[in-house]
Amino acid sequence: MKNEIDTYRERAGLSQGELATAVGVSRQTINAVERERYDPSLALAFKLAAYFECRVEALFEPDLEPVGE
Amino acid sequence: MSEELTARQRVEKREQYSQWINRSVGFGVLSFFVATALWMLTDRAVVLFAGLGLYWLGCLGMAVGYWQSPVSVGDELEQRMEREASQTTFLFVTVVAILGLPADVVLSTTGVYTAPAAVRGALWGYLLLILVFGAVHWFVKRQYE
Repeated sequence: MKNEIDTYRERAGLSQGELATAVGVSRQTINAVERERYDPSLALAFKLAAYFECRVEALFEPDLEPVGE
Repeated sequence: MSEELTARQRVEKREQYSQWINRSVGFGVLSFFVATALWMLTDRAVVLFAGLGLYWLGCLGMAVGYWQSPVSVGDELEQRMEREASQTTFLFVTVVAILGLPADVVLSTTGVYTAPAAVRGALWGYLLLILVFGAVHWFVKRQYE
């Protein structure tokens, strides 16, 4: 999933490790999310949004199929 | 308890308990190898039994680490990787059992070929594993209904 985590992180002057510690995951997890190799859980997505004080939609751009009929 | 921890504390606890688990496993395995080496020198069975006891102690330490940890020892990416690895392993087991078991029955019944006991044991062991998976899956599914 496309995301803006690295942009927000760099703007905040944080390393991947510092961000990982701040949201309670490993540095590898943040790295995988930033490289779009791993879609985070809903809980982690909300934690990241809360940490950067923005909406989840500002951080992630899901490639959704059209919903409805 | 996990709700009371801050993100930083969660990371620290995860590292702390992972370290405990790794050290326990390392202690157990190393003890067993040392005991085996000593047994080869002394030829005393008690040394081997002591090694086995220490190995089990290491296993117990590992289990205690998993049980007592207030957070999951692996974070969500590690859990995801474990799940993917488990799925691939189970796919292998299932394919081998599905193809191999009927072949084993047919070949051994007709007398064309009898597979070595180790291979037959593995095949029937895989079947047992699939049955255990089915039972556990049923149990887990009930919790979501």
